[in-house]
Amino acid sequence: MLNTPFTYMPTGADWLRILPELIVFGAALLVLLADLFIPNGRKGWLAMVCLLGVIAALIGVGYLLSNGDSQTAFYGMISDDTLALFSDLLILFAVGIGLLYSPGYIERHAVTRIGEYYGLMLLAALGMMLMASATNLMLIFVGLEALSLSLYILCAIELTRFRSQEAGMKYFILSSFASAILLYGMAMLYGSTGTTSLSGVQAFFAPGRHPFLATSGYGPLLLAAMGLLGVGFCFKVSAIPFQAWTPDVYVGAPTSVTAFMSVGTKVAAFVALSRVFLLALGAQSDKWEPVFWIVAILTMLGGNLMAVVQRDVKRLLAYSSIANAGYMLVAIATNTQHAFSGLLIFLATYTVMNVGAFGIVLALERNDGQGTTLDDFAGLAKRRPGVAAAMAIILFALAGVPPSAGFVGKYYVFQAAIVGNHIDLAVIGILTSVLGMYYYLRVIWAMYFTEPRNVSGGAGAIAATTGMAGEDEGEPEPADAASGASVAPVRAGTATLARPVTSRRSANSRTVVATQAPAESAAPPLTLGTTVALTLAVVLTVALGLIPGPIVMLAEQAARLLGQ
Amino acid sequence: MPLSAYLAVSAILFAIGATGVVIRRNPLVMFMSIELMLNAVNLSFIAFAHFLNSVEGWMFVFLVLTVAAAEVVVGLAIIVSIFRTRHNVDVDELNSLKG
Amino acid sequence: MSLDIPTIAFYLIAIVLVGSALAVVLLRNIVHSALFLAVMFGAAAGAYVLLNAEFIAIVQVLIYAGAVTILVLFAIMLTRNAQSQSSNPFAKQWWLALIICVLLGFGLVYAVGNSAMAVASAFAPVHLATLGADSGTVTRLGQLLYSPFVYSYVLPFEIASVVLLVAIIGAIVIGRED
Repeated sequence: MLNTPFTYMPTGADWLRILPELIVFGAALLVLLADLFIPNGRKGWLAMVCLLGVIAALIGVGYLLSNGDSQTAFYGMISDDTLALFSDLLILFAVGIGLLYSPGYIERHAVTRIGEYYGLMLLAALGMMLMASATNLMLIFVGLEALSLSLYILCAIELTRFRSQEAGMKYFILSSFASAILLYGMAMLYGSTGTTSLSGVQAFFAPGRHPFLATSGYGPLLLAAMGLLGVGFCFKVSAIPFQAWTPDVYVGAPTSVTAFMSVGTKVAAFVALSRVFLLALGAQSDKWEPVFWIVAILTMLGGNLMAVVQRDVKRLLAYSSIANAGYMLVAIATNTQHAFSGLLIFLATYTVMNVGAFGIVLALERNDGQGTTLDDFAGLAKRRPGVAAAMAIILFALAGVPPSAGFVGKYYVFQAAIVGNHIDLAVIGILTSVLGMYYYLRVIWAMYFTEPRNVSGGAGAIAATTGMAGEDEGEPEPADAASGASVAPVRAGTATLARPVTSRRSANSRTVVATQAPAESAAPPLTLGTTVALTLAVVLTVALGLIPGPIVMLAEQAARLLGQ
Repeated sequence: MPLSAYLAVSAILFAIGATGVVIRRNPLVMFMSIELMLNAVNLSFIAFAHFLNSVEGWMFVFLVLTVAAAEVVVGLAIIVSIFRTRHNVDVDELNSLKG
Repeated sequence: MSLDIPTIAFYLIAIVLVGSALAVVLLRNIVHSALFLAVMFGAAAGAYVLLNAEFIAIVQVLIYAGAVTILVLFAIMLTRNAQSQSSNPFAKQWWLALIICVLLGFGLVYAVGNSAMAVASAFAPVHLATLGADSGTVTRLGQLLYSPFVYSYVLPFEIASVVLLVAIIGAIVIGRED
């Protein structure tokens, strides 16, 4: 009866190898439970619980980094190699920053399911960590679904804001479409190799294992498998031509969620993509490299060109994340161990910069999600010098100006591309980076060298005279605030949220009046969490630029997986 | 029947489902088309498992079944909730994010 | 080609599968689409029986033909407005999409029809779980999934429960009105 190969028992060592994931899952359950006992108004404590969980998981990652054995656990399902721990590190950092942003965002917006919000943030992080650590197609799929389902809900969680729900639905339809394509690719890969384990697939293509492979190739089935897998992954990392969902979802989702998911999903998807293509299908690289070559070029060009015409900074950042996916695909197309470590370094730098950039957007946008156009950024340096300085540092980094994190990331990717005989990719990458500088620096120009031209003033004028409306007021209802704006000037800070449409239409007639009113005075001051998170992001952006040593070492250690 | 017969049926189903997602505008129909695609994948998995004499394909199908059920719940909840606020679920109408 | 019963059954199921799938995609009335979706789920269960996966066929009927169809019908009823007949239009560039998808379909069918598969190469992976003829399929599946002594697919199985937890939370978050 039991004469199968399956006489496998998970041991304590197996559980130890997924320690960070276990901690995150435990914290998620704890938050969902604690939500029942914490009264409304004190829900900020839930963020603390989450953060403690994240910190504990980070300690777990640190423990595994120093004492781990880089083995697979649970019958080859999941691995605790340095690559997995490296991506765990980035994902935990992103979710930590997202959690720090959350209390301030939740207080200002129509998020009523606070406990579930925090629980889902952690569960999404769990899905990402699983996807990045998975060494079996099955676990990649399940991890992907865990993170996608959590993110659909998080996108749509603002039940009274239509754009949030719309973002949730678009993400749901397009992402599950992509999941189905990815899954069909997995089925065909299983059919052509007879296994779902990545190491099994890799062993299948080992030289000399199947002589007929060398003579006849493997026929169209394997090509179809690689094509479908490639399309599925390209959807997930938002590479052109599969990027259509990205701007809408990033703009519509709650900003604290966008900050987290724009980097978390990229880390998880790129690491899983590398495991499948670079590692498992490495022997077939002559077939998939050209495809990624084309996609990388398209994504770099398209992402940057589309970003140039954006007037809204949040949307601009969404397109910039597409462009950054293009630079990462350069590393995939180069397909060397050196390029792979470049990809990991780029992911790390991209993570710290991007969570910071979306944090600034979160700090500036008003309660209705408006207030992030270039015009709103005009003259920001005079009104909020601290925020403007942080934004300037992050934008310089995103543009790739030398002593910054962005430069380090791009340097390693492009240098690896040149060494790996892909000078064409490196040249296009550098040229599009120069194009990218234009739109990043334009925002800086607006902040420092232009006078505020107020297009969405309105009630902002009142707010400017009465001081900023703090969060202490609780959660004012949009409708209340609009009706009460004339009689209760104290609440005027929130009043704009019902008005920008009308004030925008009559912008011409109001311009004279409105020039006296700072545009973003309706945006509330930073909360403690946001300040801490922004400081952390900015400091790390600078630090990674000045002393990239540790992260480079870790990335190179993780990339050694490819050389084995 | 040979394996390729099952696989061909599965491929046709998958293509029909993909067509449905792309050419229809009602989220519910798009959603049903995605279910068609998932079923096509399941058919492939089971056919491979049968002819490879392996159970990994079956395991995969179990996971897909579970995940598909979860996806149905979340997706339909979002669609219904959108309808509650907008009373229209045509994706052509969902253009407040264009720009 | 001998026309034995499994062959005839296969052709019948294949015709029903493809026909009902086309009906789901092409019919204008969304309720009819949903009903044909149920037919398609049932026919797929039939195909699984032909492939000796009886247990999965049963689960398919329970989950897909039962639960999923009901949920879809509920969603249709909840979102249906007066002019529901016309609320189910085609996309504007449908012909372009159609061409692409037909090409995709032909490509896939060509791919699966003209390939050396692991099956054909008589390839025996190292850790392939062979289906013994002696033990029942349900027994074997149960061992692999649940047994405290002999299992290997326990981790994906556990994570699937996490996915279900997420779905429960999601339904509560989005569905509850208060």
